[in-house]
Amino acid sequence: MNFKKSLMLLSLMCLSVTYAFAAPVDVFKGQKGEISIAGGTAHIPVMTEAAKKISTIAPDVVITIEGGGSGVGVKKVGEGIVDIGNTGRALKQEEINKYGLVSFPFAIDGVALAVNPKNTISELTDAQIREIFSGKINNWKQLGGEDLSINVYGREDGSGTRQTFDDLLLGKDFKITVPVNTVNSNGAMKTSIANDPGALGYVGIGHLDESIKGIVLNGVEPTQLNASTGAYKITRKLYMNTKGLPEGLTALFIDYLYSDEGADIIKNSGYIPLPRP
Amino acid sequence: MIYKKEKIPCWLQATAYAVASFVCALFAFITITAVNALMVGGHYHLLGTTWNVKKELYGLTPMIVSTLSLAFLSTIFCSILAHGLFFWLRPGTTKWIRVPLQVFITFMTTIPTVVYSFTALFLLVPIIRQVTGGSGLSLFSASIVLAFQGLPTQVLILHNACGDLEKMYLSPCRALGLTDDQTTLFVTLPLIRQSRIEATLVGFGRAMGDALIPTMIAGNALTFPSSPFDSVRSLAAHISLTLSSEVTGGEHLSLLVAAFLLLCGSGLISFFIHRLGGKQ
Repeated sequence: MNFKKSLMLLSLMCLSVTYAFAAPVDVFKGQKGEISIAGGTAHIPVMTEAAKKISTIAPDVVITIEGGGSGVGVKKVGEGIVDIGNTGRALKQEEINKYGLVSFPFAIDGVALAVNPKNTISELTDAQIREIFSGKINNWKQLGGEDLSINVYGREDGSGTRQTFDDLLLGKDFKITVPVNTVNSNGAMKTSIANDPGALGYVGIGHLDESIKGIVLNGVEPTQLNASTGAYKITRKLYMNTKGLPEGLTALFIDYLYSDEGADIIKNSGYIPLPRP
Repeated sequence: MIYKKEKIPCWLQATAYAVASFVCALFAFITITAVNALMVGGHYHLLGTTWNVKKELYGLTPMIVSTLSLAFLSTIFCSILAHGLFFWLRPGTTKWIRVPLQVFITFMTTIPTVVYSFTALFLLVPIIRQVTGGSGLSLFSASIVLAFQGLPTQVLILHNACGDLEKMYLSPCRALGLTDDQTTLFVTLPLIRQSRIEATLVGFGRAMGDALIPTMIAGNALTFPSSPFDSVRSLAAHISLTLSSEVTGGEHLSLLVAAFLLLCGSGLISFFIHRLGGKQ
């Protein structure tokens, strides 16, 4: 083997080693530009963490993240105001037709029932929940708890969290007959439950913390582990949506969330990562 | 003496036309979209009494009733408080109370709505919850907060209407043997009746159109209120809640009609205020 051939082989090996050890975030090195993201509030921890990692390696990449809800995500990405519109529900056919959107499901989130931490009730069955939402049970005393009225909290129409709860727990044909106090984000739901000792509501499992108490449903604890094994059934997908196929920095961002590093971010944010469809 | 007719500067005329055109465009846009929504979404029964997403019924009547109840109740609270405070702002009152109170009421006009709502969520709502049961998020709680929000406007309208009137009548009335309270009650207040009605209408309009306080405090349940302690959803709160979730379908069309109804309400109130101004 002559000297030239050896040198080429050595360079090739060096390149392969560099490529093998390059972190997925390295694709942003030397990139410039903006990525704007809006929509679902459950997505925000994942998007923020990814943005933080990207901005460390590529300070000229500016990523703006705002919430607003699934509807805002659809509207803003559809009208070209943002690059990525997040939703906590699958797009409706009319939304796809109207704006020509492409969806990227990237995580699974469980929806947990939650009560005030002072509430002595820790476990319920889906039959009991249906009775609460139909008004047959209206006091925690009827379930073995304190003599306190059950104040039901829910999410606004069109919320992905609400759709999951309604369809998978109550059933598609179930009619809610109790007045439901409505809030418009997971954060607002947490505040409401944390302040009301008689509250019963639901949030994404990733939002459970010491300020509210997750309810064990049919003997299964609401954890992401149970959601990933299928033991906990009340789950939904989280989506990123783009107008047409993503290009440039937007495509890199989406690819990044489907990488191993992206999967770690998703897991650390309390969700279950999904492979690229 | 003949006065020469002054010519209004061109830029001032342009400003007036620009503002008028903007308001007309706003009215036209809201009206056209609402009429279109009613025509396209006829099968959604947008002005019906039932809101049931699963049956695709998006009736706004519960929200119309809730909005009117909220505005009515808060206006009652606000008017009572405003008249009470007005008594302390009269020229006859000691200045140690009158001046700080006036400063405080002027300061109240600068407090953002979200501060009222946030404070009420952590102070008022738990009290209402303990006293009445339920969640505390109710028509009653939201009405109290709306009353406080509208209070400075109402008080200042009354105070400005009173102006030098009370000073002018105070001495003659004292000479006639009337106390200062009697002067206010039987002379000044009847004289500023139109302004009192105007203040009430302004308060009603503001309560009807406010979105933040009802969204945070009224509970937002989609039912007809049967008691002041029920959770209710106003039209403005409905717009702010649904706008973040839906861009198509019956819910979206309901927003357009809700905006039109609110605009009609505000338009009617402005019309009555204008009529009152004319009479005065």
